[in-house]
Amino acid sequence: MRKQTLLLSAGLLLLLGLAAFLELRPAAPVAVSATDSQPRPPLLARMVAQGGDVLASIFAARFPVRGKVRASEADSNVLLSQDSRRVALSQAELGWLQKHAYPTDAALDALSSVDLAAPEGSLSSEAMTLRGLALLQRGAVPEAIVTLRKAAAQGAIYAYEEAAIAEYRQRVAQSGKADDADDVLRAHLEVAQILGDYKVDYLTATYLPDYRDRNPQRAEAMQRYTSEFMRQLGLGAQALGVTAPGPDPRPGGEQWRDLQRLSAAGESARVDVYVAE
Amino acid sequence: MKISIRVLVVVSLSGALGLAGLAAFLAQRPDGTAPVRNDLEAVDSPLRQRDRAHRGENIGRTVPPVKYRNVHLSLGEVTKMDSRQVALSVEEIDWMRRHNFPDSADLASLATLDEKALRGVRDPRLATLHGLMLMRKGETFAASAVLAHAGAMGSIYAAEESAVAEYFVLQERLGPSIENDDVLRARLEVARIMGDDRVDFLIEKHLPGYSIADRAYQVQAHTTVFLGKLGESAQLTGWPAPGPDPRPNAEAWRRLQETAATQPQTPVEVYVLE
Repeated sequence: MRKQTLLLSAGLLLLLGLAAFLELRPAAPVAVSATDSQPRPPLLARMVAQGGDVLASIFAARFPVRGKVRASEADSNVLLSQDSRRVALSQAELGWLQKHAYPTDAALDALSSVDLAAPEGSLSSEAMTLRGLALLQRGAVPEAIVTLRKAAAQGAIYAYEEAAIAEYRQRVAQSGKADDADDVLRAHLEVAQILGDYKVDYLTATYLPDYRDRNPQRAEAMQRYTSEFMRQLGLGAQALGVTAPGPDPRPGGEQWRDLQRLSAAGESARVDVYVAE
Repeated sequence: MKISIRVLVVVSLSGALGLAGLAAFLAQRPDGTAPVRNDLEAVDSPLRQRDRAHRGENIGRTVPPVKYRNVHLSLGEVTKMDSRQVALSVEEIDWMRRHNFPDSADLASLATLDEKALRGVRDPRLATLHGLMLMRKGETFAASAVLAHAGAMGSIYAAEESAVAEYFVLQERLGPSIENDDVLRARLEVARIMGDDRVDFLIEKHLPGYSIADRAYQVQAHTTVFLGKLGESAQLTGWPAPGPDPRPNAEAWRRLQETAATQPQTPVEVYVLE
């Protein structure tokens, strides 16, 4: 009797194990072979085991930083009061800035030495952005806007924002302030936000501080322009034979919002900011 | 003890095999302690290509070559039908296939697809078919989720169908509301931004009295958030976020609609996926 019970138990265990294994098979990933050439990404479980912020680990893996990173301290209210689009509060944010060709201080200081005679055909998005900014600095605004838009088609969000501002300033200088110019700029800045840069709020506050209050009836125009400008990004990419960049949110949104809440409460903090050397 | 060595060997081997099977099963469960696959960067690795082919063969629907046929209609007929499914050129047909618009074979196969093989599939085309199959079965809520997942992988057709499915789920649970209309309008605007200007058909069908002029700020705010979510999803799953890929013939469609308003009987040759 005991022998039968043992055999029955063993049989049941075997069946259970077999069933579990078979259940697993259809959903199991195909085994990784030695021919997989791409490096294996870190496992989520390993990130958890290592401790720390899982999302931060994912973002750090997603936005690796090129070059040596230097950290320094800054006052949060000073950061919020100025154009801090090129400021990173984390290494992941710095990696995102590099990915989207935000120029460094050193690169901006060296704009006057950018060689505009060099052919632009094979320029990277970073080099194309600097070329556009150099053209802007030298007063060649229409050419600068075209060049910055080419950089934007390759994913340079800073270039897209600068092109929008340059176009707006040119239009206001030529024809004075007009609702339509405001709609266009507001839509371009919305596109920059869609592409990922929430720090574009600084430009909205600077150039269009009361847009919504002044223009309740013009929202439809802004909305239509936004969709059209996104479409143009796609058409530009099709013309260049590349895939248009999709939305890629900038990391650190919550950190920046915390600083704004602190500022709204009348306080400030010393925060680490990161730059690549 | 009256148990023989042979019985002990059988019991031990069976037990060991059973435990090994259970261990393999448990090792694959995402319970926080077991390894979880998280392919952040290996977006289209050989591994993933093989996985996709494996699943495609499993459900009997691998990616076929693009087939289409010419159809002769009047302009009035074209403007009244779901013009998302109609192309004015072969380039537009290619675009439709690229963004997973289903062909007639896809739709005919929905009833026979193996749902289990489709679960969790990381392929926009197969995920679109999965969502359409759930929709056909009346599982609107699940269909909306699966189609949204396919949309995040670049299937514009799935994004549109997901938006409509979600709209009806919310309407059924909460009743009609302007906020729900805003959300649908914004989701369809996302589809337009991704490239499909023919989405106007769905806007006119489901939101006939909706005034974008009165709700543009709300729609834009939702649109920006929804697009941002696509980006967030891409960052966390490693699947690249779909960028805008405008459908060809926007200008030709505009002219066609203008002419149809005054001369609806004018014949036109169009293309449809076969």
